[in-house]
Amino acid sequence: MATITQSKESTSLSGPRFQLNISQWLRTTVFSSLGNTIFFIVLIVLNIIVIRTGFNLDPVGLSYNLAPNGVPTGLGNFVLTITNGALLTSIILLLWIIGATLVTYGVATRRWIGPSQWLKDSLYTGPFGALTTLLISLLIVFAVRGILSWAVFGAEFRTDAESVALLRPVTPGAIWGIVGANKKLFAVGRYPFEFLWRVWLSLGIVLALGAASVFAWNFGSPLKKYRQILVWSWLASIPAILFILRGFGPETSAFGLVPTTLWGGLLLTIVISVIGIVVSFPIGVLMALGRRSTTRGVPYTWAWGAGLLLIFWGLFGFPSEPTTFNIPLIFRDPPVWTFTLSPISYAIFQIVVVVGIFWAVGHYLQGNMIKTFSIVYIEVIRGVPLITVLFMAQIMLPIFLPKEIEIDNLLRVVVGVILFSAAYLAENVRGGLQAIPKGQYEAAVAVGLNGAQTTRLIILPQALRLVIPALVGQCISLFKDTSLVAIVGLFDLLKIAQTVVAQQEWLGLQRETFAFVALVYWVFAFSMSRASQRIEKNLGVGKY
Amino acid sequence: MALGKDVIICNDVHKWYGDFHVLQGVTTTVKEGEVVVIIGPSGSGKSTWIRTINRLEEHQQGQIIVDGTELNNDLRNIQEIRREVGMVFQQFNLFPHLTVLQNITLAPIHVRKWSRERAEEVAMEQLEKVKIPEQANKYPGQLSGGQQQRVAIARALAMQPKIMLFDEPTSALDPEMIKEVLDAMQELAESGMTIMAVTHEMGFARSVANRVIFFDRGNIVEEKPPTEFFANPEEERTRLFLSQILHH
Ligand SMILES: Nc1ncnc2c1ncn2[C@@H]1O[C@H](COP(=O)(O)OP(=O)(O)OP(=O)(O)O)[C@@H](O)[C@H]1O
Ligand SMILES: [Mg+2]
Repeated sequence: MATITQSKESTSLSGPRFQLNISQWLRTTVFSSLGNTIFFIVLIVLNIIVIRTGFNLDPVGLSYNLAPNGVPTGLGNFVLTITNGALLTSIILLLWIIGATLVTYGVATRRWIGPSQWLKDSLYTGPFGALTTLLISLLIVFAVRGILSWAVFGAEFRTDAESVALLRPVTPGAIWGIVGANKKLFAVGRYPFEFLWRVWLSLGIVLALGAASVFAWNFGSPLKKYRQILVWSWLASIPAILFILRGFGPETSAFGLVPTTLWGGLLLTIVISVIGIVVSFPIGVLMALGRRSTTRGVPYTWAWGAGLLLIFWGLFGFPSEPTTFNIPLIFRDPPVWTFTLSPISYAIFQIVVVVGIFWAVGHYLQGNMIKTFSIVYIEVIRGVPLITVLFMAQIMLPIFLPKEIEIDNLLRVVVGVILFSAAYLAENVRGGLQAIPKGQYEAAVAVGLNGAQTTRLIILPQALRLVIPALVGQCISLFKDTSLVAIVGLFDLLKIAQTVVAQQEWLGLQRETFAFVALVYWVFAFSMSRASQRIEKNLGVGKY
Repeated sequence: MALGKDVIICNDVHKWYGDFHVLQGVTTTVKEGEVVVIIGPSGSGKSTWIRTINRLEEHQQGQIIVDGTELNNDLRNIQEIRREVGMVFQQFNLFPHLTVLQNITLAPIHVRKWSRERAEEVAMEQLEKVKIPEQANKYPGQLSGGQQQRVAIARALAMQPKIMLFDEPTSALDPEMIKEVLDAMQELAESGMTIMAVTHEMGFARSVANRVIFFDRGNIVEEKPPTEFFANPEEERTRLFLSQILHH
């Protein structure tokens, strides 16, 4: 387009013809309506305000890391110059004017060189475009300047408490010492120093598996056959790492017990989210399948499972001493029917009641127990906030279990997180299941696959692929939601941050601490999101 | 070709969708090696009937006996019959997340419990028969409709079934692809397979079928060898239907 115009001009005329009717141009753009005029004035005023502010921005004082003994270095001087608001604003204004001139020249002569064409098409699309470009560039540059000045140029990186105390009043930027000095707290909480190597060992296992996976998934076929082994290794690594972290035996031995009350920081956050996600996944998938189940009655495995559970409960658990019942009956005097059951007969009574209910519902009502259970579970959990589930896990779990069994606080929280996450997962997976056409089920059973094989080989692989984005979204939100466990007394990353800023020598450094914590959360969440995109690409979602 | 014993027996088969009486006492038998073509107006219940034979649809009254096994609520019977009865659908219904080869070997490996090598060998043989061995490692989405339907035929045949059911296998295809699928079916018929096919390809019915069934309003109206069927149909409804489709 540009070249055509140019060649036509050069044949008819010698040299560029300067032709610019400014008043007509203004009439057709800026003054074409009252609204446009007002918008134009607003833009100009905004620009003036921002430019004035820019000129008044102070250069950011040099970091004491850059200027030891107060004597600025070459780099320090450079930073001092470019953070000067007046200079920065002038540079941007100058660049903007150069751009505007190029474009005006192009418009006037109808001659375009590559860059000016690009400028006109993207940044100087008209009077409004040009002014918006100026405004936004100024704002972006000021924001970047501000962030860099605070986080880097004017920041103090020393970590020892004395120099920090000395320099705090004069350092203009962030005091990152609070992060460095508390890095162990942020990373693992109160995990004992002498056992820290176990955390490193765990990290080593994860990194080794990660490296192996990168190789197996990125470099060709010879490693392909190890992929399945790797998946299982990942799964096996979770209990193994938990075991390494928790340890056993006396505190003096190398693998001494580290109670979970001492776990904290990023370690705890990761432990809760990983277990939460991994364990809730199969539960969620089962619930999703259960919600679509058409099986009527009660599968016998369920009834027997419940029965066995109750036998265990009856023999070893809850009714450890004879239980007395007071049943009010109206026509009796005294109006209460009192009887006492020995633990064994109480357990038998419970079993009979539960199995009886299952049997009656299954055989007489012909109800779809699996579906009902799944729906009730999913809807109840989705109807309450995670906080409530966590409190319930704290308060209710102990009621269901015998008094002698003291359950770990972390375990209770993890169970709560799993129950919560499973319900949401189930709904996500169900969305995928619904998208699979009926023909897929029919084709699968027509070649002779049974129900379980159809689900495992045909339906789930397709359904799960479809919902990868939703599942990763859920992982990300679960990861961030772990910050709620602070409320039930666990010291996750965010709670650790709160305790760190409450320390005497670092008092008042909230900005640094929470910026750091936010960055950590972001890095993890963003990696998950990128990983999801890679998985989607590898599995060819939406390709077939 | 000499026909063998009865392999499909339908005896007074009824089915209702709520109040709607789809199958109204269908009764017929199909012999081993026989090729039966079913034609009839849309919505008459052809698909429903053919799908009761491998229990994709349940019948509510009457008897269906396939290869000596009666179809009832016993899951094992159903599994057994589905192993012996292959089915090809109008919409192909290939598994989009598996390659052509995996589509075909899936059932032999998981249902027949063959080794992967054996399953792949048989799969390649079947692909040769339908003339697309070079597509083995593609995904269904990368194939044309005609190729997909031939893969679907190969997939059904890899289980080495005794009976093949086809439900309008060519009606979702562009005209130029119909022939390649019909050729595959004809070859199959000549190899002695028992076939029940719902199709409106009259050429196929004439040249390949041993018997044509006219199906209307949930029941068989008329069944005869093709020459007789097309030359002098007895029933008024059959004549009307034939005149409609032949004059198109
Ligand atoms: N799941 C269902 N619920 C209710 N009615 C149904 C159901 N499936 C099919 N029908 C009805 O049963 C009748 C027979 O359907 P069927 O698919 O067997 O017809 P068809 O003869 O195969 O027709 P076509 O040539 O259009 O494929 C139709 O009237 C249809 O509306
Ligand atoms: Mg049909």
